[in-house]
Amino acid sequence: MLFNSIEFAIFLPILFMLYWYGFNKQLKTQNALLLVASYIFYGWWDWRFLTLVVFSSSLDYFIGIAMATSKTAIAKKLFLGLSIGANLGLLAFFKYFNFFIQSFSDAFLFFGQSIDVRPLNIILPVGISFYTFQTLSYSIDVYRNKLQPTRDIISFFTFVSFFPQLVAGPIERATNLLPQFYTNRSFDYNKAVDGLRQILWGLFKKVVIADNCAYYVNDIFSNYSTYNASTLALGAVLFAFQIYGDFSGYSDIAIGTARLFGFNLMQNFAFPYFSRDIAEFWRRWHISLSTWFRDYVYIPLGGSRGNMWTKIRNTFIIFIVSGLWHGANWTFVVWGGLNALYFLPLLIRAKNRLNLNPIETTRFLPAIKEVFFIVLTFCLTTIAWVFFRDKSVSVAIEYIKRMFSTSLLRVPDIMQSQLIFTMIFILLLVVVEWIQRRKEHGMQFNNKSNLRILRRTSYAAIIMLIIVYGGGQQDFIYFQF
Amino acid sequence: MPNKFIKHSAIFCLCFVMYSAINLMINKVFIKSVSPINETNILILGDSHIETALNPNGLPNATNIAQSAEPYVVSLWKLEKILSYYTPDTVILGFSAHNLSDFNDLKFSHSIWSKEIAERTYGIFDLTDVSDKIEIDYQMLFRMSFKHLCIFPKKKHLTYIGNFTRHTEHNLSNANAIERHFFFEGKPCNLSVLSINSLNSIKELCRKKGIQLILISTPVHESYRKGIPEKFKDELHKISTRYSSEGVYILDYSTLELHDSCYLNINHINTFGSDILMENLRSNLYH
Repeated sequence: MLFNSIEFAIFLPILFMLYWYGFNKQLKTQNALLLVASYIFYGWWDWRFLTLVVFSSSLDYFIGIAMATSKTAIAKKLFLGLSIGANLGLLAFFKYFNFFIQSFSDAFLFFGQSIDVRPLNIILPVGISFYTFQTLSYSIDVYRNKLQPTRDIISFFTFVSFFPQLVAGPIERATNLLPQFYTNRSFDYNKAVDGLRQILWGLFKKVVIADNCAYYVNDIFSNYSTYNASTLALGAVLFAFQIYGDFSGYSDIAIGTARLFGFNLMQNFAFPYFSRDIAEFWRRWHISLSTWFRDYVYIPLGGSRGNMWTKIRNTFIIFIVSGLWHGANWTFVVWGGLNALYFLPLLIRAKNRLNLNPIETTRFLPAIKEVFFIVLTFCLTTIAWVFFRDKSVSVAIEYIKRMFSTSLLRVPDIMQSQLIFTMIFILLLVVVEWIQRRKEHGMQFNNKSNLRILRRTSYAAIIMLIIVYGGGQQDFIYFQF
Repeated sequence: MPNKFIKHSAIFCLCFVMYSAINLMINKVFIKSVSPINETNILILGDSHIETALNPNGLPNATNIAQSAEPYVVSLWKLEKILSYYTPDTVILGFSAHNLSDFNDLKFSHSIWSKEIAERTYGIFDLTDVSDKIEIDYQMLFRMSFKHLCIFPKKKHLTYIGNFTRHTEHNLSNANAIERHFFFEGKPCNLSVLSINSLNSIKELCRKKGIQLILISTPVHESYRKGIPEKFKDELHKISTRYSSEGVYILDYSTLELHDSCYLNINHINTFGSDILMENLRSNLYH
């Protein structure tokens, strides 16, 4: 079930009413309702994939209890190994099997030997990369004694399959989300209103920004050899906003929806395109994934301890694994590696923790120097996005080579009225998010009564934009991960 | 409990719906009461073939409201709409093989055309004509209707009114025109029942209103003509024969000898071709 669909528009109010009016007397029944609703939400795509979610949930539920009751450290470690092996094994099979055997075959071919490989016809279950990491975080936190294993099976299953964030994040930590299923939730008017606003803003980003950009991005990337350099540059920039609008839009809808039910999910995007360097970008983009890798891969590898070579090694491992997490293609590995290369100078000069605070908190506009660094960081990430978007490394390299030719200063080949509108909407997004850069999302307001009419008019205007300029239903990009 | 939240949300939604509904009612009144065009004796309808070929200045008291990619069912709606204001003496309609192809039926659902068609026809769309016959992108239709009818009131709703367009360039390299008109995703198109029925409806409407209907096949380049599948040529001929016996005036200029420089592309003529065509047309109509 997509967030921007009629089915969800019917599903959500019904669930909301049942949750707060029908099932609010008992916490357990309320959680059970959420569990059933989450399974309906997920099973709407393909009910067969529910078996994987249930398997993953069951495995880590019992492993959590087993670890707590283990008498020896070795047994505990074995159970953890079982959880990691099973979850990553599921991921490896569904997501990477064909990639690995094809790469294996290509490697043999490189040395002049051909081997017969039969790719399997595997359908990638929606959200598998997200919920396997979520359950893994539970097992690891129980192992580290950061969390007591739960014996409340309903709460745990609901934590794994919680529908707002099941298919495209944020990847929630058990330490944050699981306890929220143990406590009674009381309705908070301001929280719910803020949640609705966040849903609205998320829909704007997804339906108006991302889906409209997609129309041009698909054309430009499919026919890149026929377009001039400025068009290719435009295509890359549009993709940067497409992926941002798509992914952060989904996260906003997920977080806003969770708020309607009294839950607090973690912030997943903190206006990353206002970042002044690549380190800041990665503190603001897909925060739930980057912190997951930091806590469960980077720090166990040694993190920032050790000599410079260790730090560099760990940095490359994290970025490349993060790239691979996104997809079974060498383009994602190159994308990750490129980001690691961008990060390297900051790491070597120990300047990777310079820009920790939100940009320009004292004045409305940034300084020229800050604008320069924001634009530079944006350009670097946009170039890397070309690898993310293209289907092969060679095509991405060709795309970038063509982008940096003399026709970069010419007017793009495709300038239509609809594209102008799309660019105006992108400008609107940038302006609003700049003004709101100290908040959690673009439509977070103080509920001042004297601005009520202005606020409500703006909600109506955004709804109209969504209805009129919604660019046709495109899949959420991160569903493929 | 979320009573206050539900109440406020419901009030907001109600205000939004009422605002939209009021605008819808006002715009519907404007659509009904404001005549889309000035009264003329000759009304020219059709798709891009007619849009680029028939200059209304070449005929006495004529207007060309053709638009590119216009299927016959839309021409029918346009005609019905205009006839509710006044009755012209003559209707000239494009009549070529591609008008009978069922690729026209995709124009209400396929992403290439659906937005444009929905935007043009929101004010004249008749669901009963099409809903059980072809696929329709209802979401797009709703969006375009909302955009033009519910956001603010406006007097003119003329997105379905086209005009003659001048082109002086010529380029015969669009060889894929045959593929676009008679094949879809590699498979050959069939005759469109909706298009043929709509054409019949136009003929009957003109007959009832005492309007002289003239069907014109505009000149197309030989390279295009050669590629037209036989079944479409046969159907064209069948319709021509039947209609001629029913008082419809059929003018076939598809094989009119024109220099390559008179073609905008292999299936459209440019201004130079239009001048020659109009001379021939005047000669046929008035001599």
